[in-house]
Amino acid sequence: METRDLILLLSRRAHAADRRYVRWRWAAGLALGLLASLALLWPQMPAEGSAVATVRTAYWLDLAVATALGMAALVLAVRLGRPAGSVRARGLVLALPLCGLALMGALEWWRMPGGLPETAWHTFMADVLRLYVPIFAAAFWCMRGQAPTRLALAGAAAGALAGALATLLCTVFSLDLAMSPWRLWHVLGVAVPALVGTLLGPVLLRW
Amino acid sequence: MKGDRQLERSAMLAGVEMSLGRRFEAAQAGDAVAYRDFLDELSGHLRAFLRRRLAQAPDDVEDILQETLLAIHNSRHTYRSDQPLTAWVYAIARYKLMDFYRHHARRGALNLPLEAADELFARSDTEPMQARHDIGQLLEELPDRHRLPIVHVKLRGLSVAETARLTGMSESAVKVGVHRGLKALALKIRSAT
Repeated sequence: METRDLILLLSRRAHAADRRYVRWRWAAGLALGLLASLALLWPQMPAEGSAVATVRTAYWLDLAVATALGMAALVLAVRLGRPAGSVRARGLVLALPLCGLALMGALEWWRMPGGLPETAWHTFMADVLRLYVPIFAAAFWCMRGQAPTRLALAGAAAGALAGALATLLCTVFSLDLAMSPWRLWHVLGVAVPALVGTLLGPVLLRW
Repeated sequence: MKGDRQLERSAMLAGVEMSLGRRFEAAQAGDAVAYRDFLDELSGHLRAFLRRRLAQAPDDVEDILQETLLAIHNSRHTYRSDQPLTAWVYAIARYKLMDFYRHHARRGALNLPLEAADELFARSDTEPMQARHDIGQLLEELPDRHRLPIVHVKLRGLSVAETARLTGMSESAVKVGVHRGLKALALKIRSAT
């Protein structure tokens, strides 16, 4: 087929691309991912009035920070799902609070008596996978519905989004996956999926 | 002087942006002729750009051009009217070209600047070359639910309703078939290139 024929083929019955599809794909995909994670973690939910739910008195502050990070990550990911466009400003909006959290977390860890709590590592890893894998898969599925032209960055953003949403989920339900200090974990919970996303992006997001 | 050339290029790019933007907007509103003109104008620029960049692989120019046009068509939903159309097109063209290079270059990698839409739209080449891969043949390889809607709606120019009646598919199945079929075609071309 000649290029001229291809152009005729494409131009027949021209119509606008469905913009609502973009929003729907992001919303539905991420919602499903969150629900899947929630379902997998349901056995871990703290009972009413348990000690875990009250251990963090700064609940609302943590919730606000987690929500803000989640929104910043979403805006960045949506932007990177589109060809062209600068992401420097949006990247900073996400990176700066994360650095602040990292510093606070590091301070907390340094001042913590007795170091990290004793946990069975395999339980911890199982919990982490159950939490992150569905949301990570969902974020990547959403990204695949777009047209990212910078695959490593898009993967990183999808990973960061998954991480931010996962920690938001934990904050909302006061899930303590036996990892303190909270703020350091919050940062790692976003940075590590972002790193994984950077590596998987060029492989999974090609179109 | 360098400053003058820069000014000239910016003016040229602004002109292209306006002409392409107008046609694209009309195309989004359903104007098939405008969309055809848009794709025609675009392929002229892309062809010249690809010929320069693929001097050592001239046979691949038309294939990558077709792949890029299909990619642009399939990712229209990612264009926001508050960003320059030329930058959006260039990003997609750059992505497809670098993808090709990654898989076919024997020596090193191609380094295309992240923002160089003015280079893409500086020249136009309307003489098509022979494409190596036959899209018509790739179309035949698609499953019926994709191939039939495309053949009737896009090749024969029937309406969605007429195609639905002819094929026995529902109207939404026809629309989805065209949409998914073109995506499947893009994938086939990518793996064939």
